[in-house]
Amino acid sequence: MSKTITNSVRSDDQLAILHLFEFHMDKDLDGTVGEAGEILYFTDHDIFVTDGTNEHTPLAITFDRLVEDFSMSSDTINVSIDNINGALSTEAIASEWRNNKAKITRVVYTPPSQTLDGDNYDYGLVHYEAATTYPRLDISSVTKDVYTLFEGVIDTFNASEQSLNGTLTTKFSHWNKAYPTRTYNQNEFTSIVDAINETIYWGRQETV
Amino acid sequence: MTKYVVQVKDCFSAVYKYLDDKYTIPHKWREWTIEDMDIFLAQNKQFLSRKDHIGFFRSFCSKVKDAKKDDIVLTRTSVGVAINRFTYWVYNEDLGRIEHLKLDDKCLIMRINNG
Repeated sequence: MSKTITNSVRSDDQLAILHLFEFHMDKDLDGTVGEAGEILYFTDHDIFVTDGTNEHTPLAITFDRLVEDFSMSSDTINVSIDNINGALSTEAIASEWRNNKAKITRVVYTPPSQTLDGDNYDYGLVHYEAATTYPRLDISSVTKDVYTLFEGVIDTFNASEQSLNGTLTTKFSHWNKAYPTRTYNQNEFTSIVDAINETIYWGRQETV
Repeated sequence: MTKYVVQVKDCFSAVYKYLDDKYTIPHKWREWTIEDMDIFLAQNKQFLSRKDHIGFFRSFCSKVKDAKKDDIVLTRTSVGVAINRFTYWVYNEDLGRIEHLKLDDKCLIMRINNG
């Protein structure tokens, strides 16, 4: 994951920022792509956002500031989707969210220019709106910087009638675990744990 | 035969024009024909209060539970088109443009037969 930020839209231009969210709901428990495979695309922008391929539905989404440090611990981030409707509730309850891929992308862009009543506005007034289609921002052709804020898997979630809250964790969530988490009392299996500890050290095979 | 061009003036005419451009939908219903659109629009409130907008779409659509793109979304006072499972667009007469709204339990969703 690269966090290199280019300077495409920062040369005396007006900026706008939005976030794109991807929730891959297309995996079964065994990791294979399910029959009803799909990916949910959302944005925290106030209108639809299309990147030329996928259209992101505007929803009130907030997410925590990502806490990072140099310790070998797993980073997590909490995502909250408000104003949930019936369809999303159904999806949340009917699907297996956990361990599915999630991605948050930040898009910094220059609002496209617009002409209204003969006057040209370099940085636009409103987004691409027409009387015959719903408001939609097409970022495929605008000047922009796109970088991945967070990419990982969905760890836990809970849904209510009002909101959907989830915890995302990085793909390195097992990094600092000497052995897999167990659901039973490990004290009853000390010999097994000892055997694992003899060969596994900080997530890798102990060679010394 | 010259095709009658529907002028977008309210939510019904916006939806009708959108669907008529993409699908084959009836140009008449009961005593009303597409050429009567202006008359119909003038009697908009009667049409809605009699729930004729639901009757019209029921004549060539089937009710469905989950929405997908281009399904018709009916409420007591408006007609819109589904964008996806979560949202639909509707023409807002006050704003003079289309806006998107969230699908909720009050929405009646219909899908064009063989559409």
